[in-house]
Amino acid sequence: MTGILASFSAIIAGLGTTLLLAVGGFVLGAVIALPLAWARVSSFPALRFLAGGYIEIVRGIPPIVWLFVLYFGLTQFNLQLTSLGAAVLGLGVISSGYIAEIYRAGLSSVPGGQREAAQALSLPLTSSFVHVTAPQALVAVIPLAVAYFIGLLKDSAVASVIGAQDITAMALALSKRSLDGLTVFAIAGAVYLIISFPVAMFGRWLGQKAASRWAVRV
Amino acid sequence: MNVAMQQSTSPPTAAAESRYAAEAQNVTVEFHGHKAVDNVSLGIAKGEVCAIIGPSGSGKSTLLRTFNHLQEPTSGQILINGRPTVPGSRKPKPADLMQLRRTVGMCFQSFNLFPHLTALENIMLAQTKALGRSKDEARERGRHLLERVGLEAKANARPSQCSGGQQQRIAIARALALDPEIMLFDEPTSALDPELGAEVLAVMRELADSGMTMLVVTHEMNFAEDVAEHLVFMADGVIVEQGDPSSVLRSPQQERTQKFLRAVNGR
Repeated sequence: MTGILASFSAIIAGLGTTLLLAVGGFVLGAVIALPLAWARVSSFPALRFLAGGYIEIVRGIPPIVWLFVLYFGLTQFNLQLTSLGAAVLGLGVISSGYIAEIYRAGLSSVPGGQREAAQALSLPLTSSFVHVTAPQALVAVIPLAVAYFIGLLKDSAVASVIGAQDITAMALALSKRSLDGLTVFAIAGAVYLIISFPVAMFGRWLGQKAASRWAVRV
Repeated sequence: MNVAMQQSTSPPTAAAESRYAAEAQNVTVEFHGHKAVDNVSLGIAKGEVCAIIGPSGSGKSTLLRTFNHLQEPTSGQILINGRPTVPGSRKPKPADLMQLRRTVGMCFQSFNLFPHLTALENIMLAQTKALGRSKDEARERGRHLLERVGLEAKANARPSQCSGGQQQRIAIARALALDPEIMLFDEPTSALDPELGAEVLAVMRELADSGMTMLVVTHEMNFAEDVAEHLVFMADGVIVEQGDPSSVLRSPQQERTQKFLRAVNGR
């Protein structure tokens, strides 16, 4: 029992890094995704094409390859990122492609009549977006974004491969010392589960709150 | 048909002399080669209520929507108080459109209230963001307009907490908040049962009595006959017949009008 507790406390030392990877990657992705989603629904075909191409490339390459490119590849340009920096940047780039598509789904969930009404009321484009479209798109975006974040939290384990000291890296190191891989990785799995669960609950609560507040009666 | 078309086509006049608050001149709207509106000219006098009736797909809503450029005409032009909505250039600038839509208000068949805002906030939004009124001013004007449509008690209710009829009355108040000179109504009661429709029509009647220039696409023949001064029957993208509502409804001259009215009256 004391062994399990000791293992747990050794593994939990990586929790901060895991959270930093997931939150950092998600926030970075969510910011890059804004202009990307805007370009994706733009009326200029060239912008739509560029954004679509970026999204396909970002999503079509395995995360581990992205991290290798950023961590090992950039050294050729005398750019040596720390493992944490490369991992956050890589996860940010990858999530930007997915989150852009989530934004797009949110935007297309807003009935066209809403934008028409804003136009007919002579609202400037920015007001129309900020006060009419965005709050309604958020209702569709929240549950998708939370689900994506939980996925990212787990996928951030890939950063351990380039040396980020996250939960998985801690568990890996411990398993080599203790030679009890089953217990060690079971504990690591449980830690991921324990942090995912409240996030999922929070996401469900937030999504329901937004939906009930802003539901449209047809 | 040609006679009616010619009557409605007015010669180009100087802006100051225009007797029309709103006018469509030779407006055509094409969708993928199909002419939804085919070279239609129509003038609405100041203070006049003009009702457009006709079967589905006749182009009446499309024509209505060209008056505030929610639908861009493929050719032809719209004049408001004798002035073209798009001065000179072919493609309207956002500033032109915003100016136009402050003068020409609109209500939709499906209300299109903003579901995340209360009734009062719906009415305040464009006042503060498009007209630059202060929040206090917009709130006061909003409350006054809610009172006018009989819904002061619903100021803090969200659209989902209001009946369809109440939502449409809020939508009318929202459009009126910009002090438009002309109001467009696109089948405002079609999504409502007769009882709820009646409360919306009562508000529109009051608006007409106050002297508002109104263009109304409708299936409400009683409203068209009682309230409108000018009735237009459209089919297949053209104006088939127009004139005094009672004469068009009671003794239509064109065969197409007769056929439509027979179907509407169930005879």
